[in-house]
Amino acid sequence: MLALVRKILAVGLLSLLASTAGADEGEIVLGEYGSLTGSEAVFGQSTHNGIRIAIDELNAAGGIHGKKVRLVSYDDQGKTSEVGTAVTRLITNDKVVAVLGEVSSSLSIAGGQVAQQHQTPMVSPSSTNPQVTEVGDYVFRVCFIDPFQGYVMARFATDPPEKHGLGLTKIAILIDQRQAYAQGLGQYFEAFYRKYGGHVVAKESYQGGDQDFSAQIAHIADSGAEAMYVPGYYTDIANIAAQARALGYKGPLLGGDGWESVQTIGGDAIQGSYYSNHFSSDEPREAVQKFVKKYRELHTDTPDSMSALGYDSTMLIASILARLPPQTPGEEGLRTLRRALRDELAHTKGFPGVTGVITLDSHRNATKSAAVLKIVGLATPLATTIPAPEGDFEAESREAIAAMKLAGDEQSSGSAGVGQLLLKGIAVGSLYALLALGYTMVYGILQFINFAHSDVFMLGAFFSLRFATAFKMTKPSALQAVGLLLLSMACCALVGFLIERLAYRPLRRAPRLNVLITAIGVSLLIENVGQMVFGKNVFQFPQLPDHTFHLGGTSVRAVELIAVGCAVVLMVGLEILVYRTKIGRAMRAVAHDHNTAGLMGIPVDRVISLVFILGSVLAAAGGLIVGLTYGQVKQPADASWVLYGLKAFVAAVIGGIGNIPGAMLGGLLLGLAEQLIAGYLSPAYRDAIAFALLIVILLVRPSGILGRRVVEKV
Amino acid sequence: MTAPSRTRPLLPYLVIAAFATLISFGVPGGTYTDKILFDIGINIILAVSLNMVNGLTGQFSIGHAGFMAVGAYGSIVLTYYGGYALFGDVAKHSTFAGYALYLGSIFVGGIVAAIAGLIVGLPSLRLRGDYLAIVTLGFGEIIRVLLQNTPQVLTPDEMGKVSALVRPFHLGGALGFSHGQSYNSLGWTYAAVGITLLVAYRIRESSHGRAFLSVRENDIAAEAVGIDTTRYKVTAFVLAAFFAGVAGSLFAHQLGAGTASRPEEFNFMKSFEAVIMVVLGGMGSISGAAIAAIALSLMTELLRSVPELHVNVLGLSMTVDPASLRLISYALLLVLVMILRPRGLLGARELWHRRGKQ
Repeated sequence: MLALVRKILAVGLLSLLASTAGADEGEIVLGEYGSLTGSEAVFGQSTHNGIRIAIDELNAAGGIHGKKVRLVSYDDQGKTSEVGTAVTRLITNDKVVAVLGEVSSSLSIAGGQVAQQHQTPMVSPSSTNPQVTEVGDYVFRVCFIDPFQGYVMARFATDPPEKHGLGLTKIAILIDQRQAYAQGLGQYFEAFYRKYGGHVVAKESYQGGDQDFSAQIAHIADSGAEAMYVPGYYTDIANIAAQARALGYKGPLLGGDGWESVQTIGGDAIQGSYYSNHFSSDEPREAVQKFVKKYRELHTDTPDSMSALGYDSTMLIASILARLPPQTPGEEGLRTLRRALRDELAHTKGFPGVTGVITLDSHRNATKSAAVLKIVGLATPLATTIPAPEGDFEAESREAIAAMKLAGDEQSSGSAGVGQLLLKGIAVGSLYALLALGYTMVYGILQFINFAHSDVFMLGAFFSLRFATAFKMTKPSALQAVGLLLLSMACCALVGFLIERLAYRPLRRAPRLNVLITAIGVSLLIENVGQMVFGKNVFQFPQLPDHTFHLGGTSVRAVELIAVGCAVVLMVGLEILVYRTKIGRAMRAVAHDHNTAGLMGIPVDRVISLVFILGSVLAAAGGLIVGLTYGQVKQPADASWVLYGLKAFVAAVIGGIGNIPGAMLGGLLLGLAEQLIAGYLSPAYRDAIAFALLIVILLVRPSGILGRRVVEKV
Repeated sequence: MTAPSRTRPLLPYLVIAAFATLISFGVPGGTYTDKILFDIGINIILAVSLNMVNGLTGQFSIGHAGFMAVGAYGSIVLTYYGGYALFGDVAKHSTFAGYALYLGSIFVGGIVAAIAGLIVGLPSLRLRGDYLAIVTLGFGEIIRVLLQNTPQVLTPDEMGKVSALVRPFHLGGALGFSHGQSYNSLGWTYAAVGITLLVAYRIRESSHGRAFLSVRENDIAAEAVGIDTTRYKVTAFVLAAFFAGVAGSLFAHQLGAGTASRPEEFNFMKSFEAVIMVVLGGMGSISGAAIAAIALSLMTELLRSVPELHVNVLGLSMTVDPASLRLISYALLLVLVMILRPRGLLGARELWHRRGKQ
């Protein structure tokens, strides 16, 4: 026991030693915390790139007061609990002068409270929720806030064309319920839009990361809206636009700064839409072009506003530090410098940044004009600039909100045709079914949930994307798509085989929980290696020549029909393989009883390998189908991949786990149930209701619909 | 030792007393070490409580974060809206009344979570173990979605306009409970850790504990010797939910508590982390779970400072970034430990067992 205690102490000491690297007198240390991994890594990385450029530029020009500037960056994985530790560490151990971060507002609030307690100035580059700077007088930002962005778009939508506006009176709103950012923008847009005489004819919501929006869009298309305000993150927008066009919606889409770089993945569907932004890389100003050029040299693509704001926030701090007397040594010197920096930040006036001229108001928020950009091809030319309003904007926005609440909702609730919902349900359901088969086969044989299955599915999408890029297929023909499918199936089969061989086989005799943990480990591993190899971004996926069939009130895309057809063919193939061939009989025997099957001369290990290969092949097909249907794939660590997997597993359980027809049935049922719930009850609660349904089914029929009740014998 | 049988059981109470003296009524600690110790404390409570379900009774819950969320929101509603209703103040710090309120809110958080545990556990624990996993997972996701759809937190100025009964439903939506207050300090945290360890220890070393173990080893045989297996499963489950709720309460009142309770924070990854700690420590071993919680918390922290690498291979911008490396090494370690040491660090042993005793 003593030895163990000593070991623990040693580990503890080691960690303390590793973290006592303080500032050295000859340099100025700035700290950054950001989501460099996880679902928001796209934005964290962009901001980080901008900050890096600023730091390099400062050091190339000889630093501040002749001292080099050093940046310490910590990853917070997009979690509030990690933010607290990261910011504390920056302030108390790395002795930074100021902290830069976060993109996400909830994380900035968490970090801001720590910075405030330690009286260290924090500048958030791009958190737009009003509550961020309300944390305290040490928390600043260089971007405008949500109410202002809502106001900008409301102005742009209602202004008559001669004032460069759109002059629209009927607009629908579609909100990402998962993001406080989108909720805020939507609320303020509605308030101001109604204040200026517009009518909100439909209000819908979705969960960020959803792949299917047809129920909501059908409502919106029915409501007669002339435009649609969708202030979500661009990772969802391209998808929404494509589905809106497929359902016959013609008007433009409007959005906020979360739309940044949507034109790179949005294709034709997003053309002619508008969004408000902090920064336009097309702006001819010299400082802007210098920054854009430098960014392109380092990262090959064009900087977005996240990186521009990251750059500006760093440069703002540096410009003040250069004005202030250099830091005197010791703790007291650092405290004085931090306080002086705070005082100067509060009086920032007319700082020339690449995102415009920054003046901080008494709430420590930046007041500056916003750019409204139009999407034309891959470019985003400036449509108009909306200046900061005169007078007390905060009071004005509060009044607008109060007036809106008083007036109550004005939109009527429409409903999509049941045919449309059923068709969509079958399309989504067949995808769930394809994945569910992989889960159910593995569970049937090894009795554990193969969490890595959803990652093989993700790899399926990325392999086909990579092959398509390698063979330069932007508009593949049907034959080429089959080629892609086969190639990515082969790769996924290999991955599936290796996972089983390397990670699961050594654990054949271990408790099931161990295998499960290993599965989670493998899943994390693939996600993060994938993140490194494929990049933290949303990628446009090559599209089949598309055609939309209309039948009465319902419409269906050719690609969806192909997807369903492909899924059906694969499932029938699997059914024949399992129930009509010798190898299938071997698989069923192994599922029934490993030991006896082994004694009967069945090569158990080889059969298990085959099961993994089959499951992976189906997952690869699923990956390609997702890419083709939605026209884009999200970064490997995106939560939506795991959610797909979980739902597919749920489908397998509903159908009766271990049962192949059950998995197909469960997938279809889940897909249909989801669509009907979204269409008739509420899209916001869709996932909650889907899981609640699962629980009810389990209670009524514990072994699933087609599963056989197993009585355990001693 | 001269009288081991009489004094040994008292030892944990002495430890508790020592912890109690540690409770400081001052400003919550804010140094880096404090923060790490705090994270460790929360993780110990999570791991040790989950061990009661996954380790002792051999059931398989992967919705621990859901109960943590229920506890977090339950307790913060009490300190915030309850504080306003009782004292007309949402941040009643550094006074006796304020800390009494906080203490109450920790219990309320635990009890609300325990009730949620009962609702989830009572029907599903009659089912086979794997279904419990799915039900708990589903429960966690349902809680997350429900919380995301709540309206903004009311500021004290707005309280008057809303009926007192509706107020507690303003939980901040996706942004999180943005006006949370940092009541917590290390003393509170470690007092809770001590109590959790004590309860886990007392249960394990009692006849109830052996009943739990019998359910894990073979529930049909346990049933045959007259043990009400469903009752024991539900008891373990509710108890674990209670402590997860307590962990949630502490978590919600940490420094930087504004938005600490955020729906996204309690997603299934958080539940997985707790499961990983239990399995790494050795299923059923209380000290193992605690050690794994400490080790994993320290490891994430050590790996945070991997030096920045600038790799530019032939103009190709495939950057080997340290942040991803951190998660990759975490994942690799997990797989390797499972393969090389499948019974976890301690197996079923406890630190206080003498060598050889299982």
